[in-house]
Amino acid sequence: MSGTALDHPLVQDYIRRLENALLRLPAKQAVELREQLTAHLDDALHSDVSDEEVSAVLSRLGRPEELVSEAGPGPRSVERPILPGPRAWLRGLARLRWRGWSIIVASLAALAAIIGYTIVPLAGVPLTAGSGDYSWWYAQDRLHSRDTYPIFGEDTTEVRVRSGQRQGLFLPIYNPSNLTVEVLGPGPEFITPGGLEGQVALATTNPLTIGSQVQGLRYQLPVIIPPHQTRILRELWTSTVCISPGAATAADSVSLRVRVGWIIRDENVPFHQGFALKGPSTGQNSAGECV
Amino acid sequence: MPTDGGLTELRRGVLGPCVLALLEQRPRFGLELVRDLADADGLLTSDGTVYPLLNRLRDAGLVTSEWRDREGERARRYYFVTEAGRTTLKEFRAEWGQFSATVTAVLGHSSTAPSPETPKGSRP
Repeated sequence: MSGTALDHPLVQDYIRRLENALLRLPAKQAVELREQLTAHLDDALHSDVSDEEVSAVLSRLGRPEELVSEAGPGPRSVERPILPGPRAWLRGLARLRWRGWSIIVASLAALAAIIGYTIVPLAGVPLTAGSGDYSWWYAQDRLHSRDTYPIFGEDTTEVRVRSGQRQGLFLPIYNPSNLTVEVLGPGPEFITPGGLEGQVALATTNPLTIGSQVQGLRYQLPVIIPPHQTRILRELWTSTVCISPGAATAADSVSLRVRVGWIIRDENVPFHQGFALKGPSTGQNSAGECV
Repeated sequence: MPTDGGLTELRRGVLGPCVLALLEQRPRFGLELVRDLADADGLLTSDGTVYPLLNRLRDAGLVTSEWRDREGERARRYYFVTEAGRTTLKEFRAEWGQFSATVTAVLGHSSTAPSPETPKGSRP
């Protein structure tokens, strides 16, 4: 697993303050501003950056509360951009000749295209599990995994649950549509095999084009999946479940919140292969159970 | 006289047209745009204010954006000026020339005018 500048404690603290401040904004605005500011930080900071450099970049970026205030509704300290007012529009219409009307017709055509851009994603093709390696994130799980555990009537890879310890999985996610899909975060039904609390992230580049190992890729959210491209999805969690000998808990899909065009929707992406944690547990969870 | 407050408001008022002018040269992604604005000394109070401004320009139809995914790089959102943005910028440029000339003339006149209360010197 590779760390990024976004994992730096000062950046994490900034993002937490930003998340709190963003609660004041409508969801669409909040997602957009968060994406812009995290992309800014990701571009501005290298993974081996010093604390002083991080502080300087965050200081120049501005306090999260002030930035959200700039973006929010109501009185703002920043003037609105200079725009043509209604009188200017009327004067312009009065002066229109054939060229002007051509522009209006073109604008209406553009409007139709925009409406199409809005509606088409509603009927767009959802993400699917891609072809390639499905496996466990940590080496000790990969070494001890066993395939073909028929929980879902399909191939399943199973490992012993290591209660109280970090476990994870990865698999390719494919965008089969002709539209760019932005994965924003976990969907409302997101759950890991080992417990409710988990993280999901996607690689920022297509592993098929750079030939790297999955552990060497950069993982973050949001992530763009261009049409007909694949990104590796990673789930990490601390296993909080205790499983009896012979029993198992498993996952065969992932719930994701995605944006297509201007539409934000939740998708449940089924896997080609299930992931199962089987008992008896090794270790103990935070409640001191299992052993 | 709190001169900084006046300058801050002026700076904020012209930031939108400056963003349009940079995007008219070529599309830019967020950090690139911020750095170019920061190079123009004294134009930015904080880097992050560019993003709410970009979103308002986009909502006004003056700017649009598109994701670009270049080989070996992470995907970035690039911003473009629209035809409406070019028109607005053209109008602003025309008005700004006259406006700045007027302000310069008034300020220059004020700074050279003698103060009626200036002491002429004193005898020992």
